[in-house]
Amino acid sequence: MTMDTFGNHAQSRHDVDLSASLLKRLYLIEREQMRALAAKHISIESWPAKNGLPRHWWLASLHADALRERVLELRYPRRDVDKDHDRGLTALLAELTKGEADAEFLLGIYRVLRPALIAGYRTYLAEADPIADAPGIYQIEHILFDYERAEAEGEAFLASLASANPASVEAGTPWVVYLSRYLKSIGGILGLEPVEEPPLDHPCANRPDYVVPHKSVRPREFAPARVESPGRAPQNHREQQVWYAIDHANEVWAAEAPGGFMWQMPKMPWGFFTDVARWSYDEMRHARMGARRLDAWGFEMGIDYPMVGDPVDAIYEQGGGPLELLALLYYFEKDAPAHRMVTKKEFTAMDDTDTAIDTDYDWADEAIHLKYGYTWLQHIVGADKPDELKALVERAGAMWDTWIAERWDRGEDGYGPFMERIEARIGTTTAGAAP
Amino acid sequence: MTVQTMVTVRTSSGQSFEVDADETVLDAAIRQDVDIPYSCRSGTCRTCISKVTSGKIEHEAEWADDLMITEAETAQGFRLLCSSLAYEDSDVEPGW
Repeated sequence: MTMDTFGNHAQSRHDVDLSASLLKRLYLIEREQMRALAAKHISIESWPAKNGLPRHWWLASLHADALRERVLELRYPRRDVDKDHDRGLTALLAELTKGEADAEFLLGIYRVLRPALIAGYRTYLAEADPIADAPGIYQIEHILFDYERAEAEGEAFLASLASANPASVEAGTPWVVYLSRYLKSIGGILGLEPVEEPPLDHPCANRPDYVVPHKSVRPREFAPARVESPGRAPQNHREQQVWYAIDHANEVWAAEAPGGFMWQMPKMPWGFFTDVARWSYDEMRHARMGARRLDAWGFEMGIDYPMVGDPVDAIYEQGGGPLELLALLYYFEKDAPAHRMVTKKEFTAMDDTDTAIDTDYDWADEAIHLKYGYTWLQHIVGADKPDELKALVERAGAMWDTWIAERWDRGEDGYGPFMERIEARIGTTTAGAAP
Repeated sequence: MTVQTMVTVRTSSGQSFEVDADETVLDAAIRQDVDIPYSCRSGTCRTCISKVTSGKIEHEAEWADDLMITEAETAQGFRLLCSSLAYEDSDVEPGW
């Protein structure tokens, strides 16, 4: 409660320092939620969650960026905004990725963290001065709008898990209890509530740190696959459409890989995280474009055509790491525009305007991805070492070329059953029609 | 520095095209259906990076500080054609 010199009591108001400290806390939560969602993406098996999580971490990156900017507006030193966070809160957020099964992890995010975060934002708004703190209020109102829209999506991820395996969701209950108790032990999201005993004795405590796996997880009902692209050039328009859509659908790996970078490269500047969040969300959108086309043509994902993360395999199986994977992503992006220019014209010419438009948007996204890739590879390698950067990108490309050639040369492509189904599916369509 | 007249640019693949005064080299190529890979058209993606092997092509001064190209590359003759004007008949080799 505040008071003026005339003795009038007014409603509670945050001063600048309190606003800055609360918003810095909320920034950290958004940032770490983003990193947790992105890092776990590669290990998520549930397909609804695999499809939907990138949008949620991209939104979290926008929220974090807006909050961070507002903290800086409140006289908070730029050199301190990314450090000296509340230790208890930092430790709680580090627990998020330790939810092991899909259900545990998603329950932790959607049943513990997000409801508490929404309540925290509402508490902030209830006590914020509508005139003095109007820019901060504007940001939080929009963040809340995003959360309200996303709430049903999070519930849909959990409902999908419950539908496939009710026991898996039930098995996540102890994790929910553990995180909820942990949250109370740090005074809640804003740290303003009474502090309770930490759940050090809980069976879910003391789990090892999460490590990003070196293999993309796909639903167990998908047929085993090793490579995504058919081993021969398309022989007609319909094959060209299908080949292209399969390639697009398999861009899931290009969302998973940058998601992993956010965890594997924690010391990068803040701009890296906002760029990579957008990059990975875009790639998931591209994958969904391809899947949408194939679905419309009657192809069953993971059964009629393969769904794999073969570029991830190519890098990690040959001893590479996140840097080589980032370079490979850039390698593919670098050569893509010339390809997109041609394919857009070709699909337009064959009256497949849906694919042409998908291609056009993909091409537009690639323009910003190229900037991201070059900027951050240059940051890592050194601005004064363009030859080293070029060599790194070429080495990553060579790793891919070698790996994929070996799969086909050694008969390890595993493509035979898929090719039979693809050809059969195309064969069922009438001449001249879309597949 | 202003561009006085229309000039001709030739690519290493043998295509040539006219570039008007105050027209970027890439815009001229697109207008005449010449295949030069491009994407952002704002000097940030580096897709149109090309080496100027003869003649005179320079980045537009207004945007020069925002371009994703190093001083060393510029010194070696590389230009981002989406953000460059041609001042003389020139030869370019697309690629990095």
